[in-house]
Amino acid sequence: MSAVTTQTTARLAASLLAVFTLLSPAARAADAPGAKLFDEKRCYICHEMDKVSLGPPLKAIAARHAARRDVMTEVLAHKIVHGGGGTWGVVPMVPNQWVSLGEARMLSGWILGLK
Amino acid sequence: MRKGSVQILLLAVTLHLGLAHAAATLQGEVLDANGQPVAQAAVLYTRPAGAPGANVVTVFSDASGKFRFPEAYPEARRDSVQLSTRVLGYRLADVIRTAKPAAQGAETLQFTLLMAREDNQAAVAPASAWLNRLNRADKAAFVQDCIDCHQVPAIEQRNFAAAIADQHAADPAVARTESWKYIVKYMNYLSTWEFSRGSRSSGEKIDANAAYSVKNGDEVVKLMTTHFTDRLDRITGFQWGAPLLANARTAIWEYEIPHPNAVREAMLLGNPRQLWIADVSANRLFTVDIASGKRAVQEVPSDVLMSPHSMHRDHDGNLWVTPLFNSVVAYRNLATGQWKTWRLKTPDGKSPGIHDLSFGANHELLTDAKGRIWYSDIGNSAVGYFDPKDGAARIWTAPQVAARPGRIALYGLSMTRNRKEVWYSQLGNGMFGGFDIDRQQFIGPFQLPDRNAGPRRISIGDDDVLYMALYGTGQIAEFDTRTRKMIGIYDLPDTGSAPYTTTWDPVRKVVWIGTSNGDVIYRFDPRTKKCTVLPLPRDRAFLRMIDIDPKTGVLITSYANIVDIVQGPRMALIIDPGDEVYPERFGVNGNAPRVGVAK
Repeated sequence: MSAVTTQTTARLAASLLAVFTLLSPAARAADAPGAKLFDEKRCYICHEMDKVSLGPPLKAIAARHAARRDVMTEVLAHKIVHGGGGTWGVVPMVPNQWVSLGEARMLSGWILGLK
Repeated sequence: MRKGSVQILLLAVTLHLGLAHAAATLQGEVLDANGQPVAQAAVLYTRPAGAPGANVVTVFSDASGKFRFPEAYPEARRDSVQLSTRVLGYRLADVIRTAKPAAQGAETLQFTLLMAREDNQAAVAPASAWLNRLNRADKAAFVQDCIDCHQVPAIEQRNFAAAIADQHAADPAVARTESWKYIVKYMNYLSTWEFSRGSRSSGEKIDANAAYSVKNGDEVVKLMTTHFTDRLDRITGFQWGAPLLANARTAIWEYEIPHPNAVREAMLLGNPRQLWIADVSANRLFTVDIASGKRAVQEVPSDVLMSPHSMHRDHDGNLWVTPLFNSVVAYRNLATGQWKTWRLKTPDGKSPGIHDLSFGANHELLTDAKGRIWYSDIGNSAVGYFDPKDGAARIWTAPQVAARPGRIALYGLSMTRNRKEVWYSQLGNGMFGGFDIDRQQFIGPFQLPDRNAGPRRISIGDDDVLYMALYGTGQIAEFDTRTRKMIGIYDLPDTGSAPYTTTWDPVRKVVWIGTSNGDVIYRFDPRTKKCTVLPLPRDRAFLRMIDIDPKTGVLITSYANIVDIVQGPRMALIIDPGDEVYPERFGVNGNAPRVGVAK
């Protein structure tokens, strides 16, 4: 394969990826490391993407904290690990000691990026 | 003692002390604020990571408050040794350290532990203490519903109670109801996840809403909402309920099992002796060399998820492993290291859900006269056999009784001395019964007074007396299988302790009872019908089967909170009750005399 062909192929792949990404935010979200952690750590027991379950919907959390995303990424990471309550109603969140703070940051960053 | 024995003993002592050249012995006394001795205080030495042997060693103070640890420890230095205590009504206020050189360069480190009175027992009282708020019937129902899998209220639930209170909701009652409902649903999910190991595909999710299927979930919520109205951070007046059996020679060695795991049961096997610990999360057992602490993984060769759950020792000291409710049985020859597995199927195509194999009075595997091994089948609520020679298997479904609702799951199993009968328990409906092997007929069944009695693991004594731990009602039942008569049903010292297992001790002639919710082991004496209590070194001491080392009489058991939301310890432990009844003395470094115990 020539250098030109390689470049063309790479551009085409990048374009296709961009189109795919633009057209399919759900697919993009599902492939993210945060989404994988969400499954692996069984967060789905209490949270759904856009429906109220035992806990608030992920997209509602993202919408509420969109304006303070940097700070809230850290705040929510700590809440994931240590639990807490009072934000969304009368039910506190359980702590998740098996989730490391690093993993929790990945989760909260992913959640706050959801649209 | 003969002269030769004395010489060997002296040689052993000399060798032992010689080898312990750089190690230090730990001893001291436990005193209250007035300088008076605190007797039967648990003193824990939590060893640093990498220290050879047990992770934590616990001893108890004598009547004069004196204690001494059983071995010498190479890592022990005067200023770095971490000692802690566990005594109802006290907290450790201060530690005074001194050291003096001993013979051959070894050190003796001396500790004075000063205790302060502490009315709030929240740091030491077991989860069961908090259940005294419930009446007997409610307590039995609650234990049956929740403590299958973890202690209640363990520290995690107590912290959650505080989180509910900290919200300062406009209507606290609504906040409690909604919050405990959430927890019950959440725990239902985790329980469904846990018990579907092996039957769900890799990566398969479970419908969280479908998991909330426990019919009495709302009743559990109501009990929690009614009785857990405070922060659950203060409790007073709890007592163990019977005399403690701990003395200055009692010792407990605890070995942590590396995460992640779902530890179930443990045994002490082989030469040199190792702890074998079952892990239901994979086709594996862990082994721990008790002297060095070296860990290894032993894979069970099975092409399906076997989930090792229960363990049985045969007369030759080899290991039999039964699964988490599937049909695979595994055997490990300890001398050759060879495994053999069977995947059972009955002639009519049923797969038994095996739980226990047939135990006899020595807590060893027994076969019938034809060499067949019997088992309890929790999946089909049946008893059955399999023939290790050709794998042939058969089951008989236990008779049902009307008006006895509840899970009919057939659970524990024991075999009579003549090997002609097996006896079983049914954990969910308060039933038990026997099976005549020659006639292929059930005996009974028999009803315990309370449907929520919850008989779990059972054992059989020298005279074919059956001992059943009644999980829900916190009792022990004593039933004569020869006369088919109940001898008696006795309250344990703490009826919220959720007794999971009984083990007949063929030398001491007593029954050891392991609890799930009480952080204790009871010793029941059938002659007096009384219990004594051994408090364990930590909370969330959710016990499984207790085995007894046939040579030294030490007890072997494990902490195994099932669901991972209640973190709890995952450990195997060896307990020397310190009564010196068995012919050989136990030591983690072999059978050398233990340091510091005058014999």
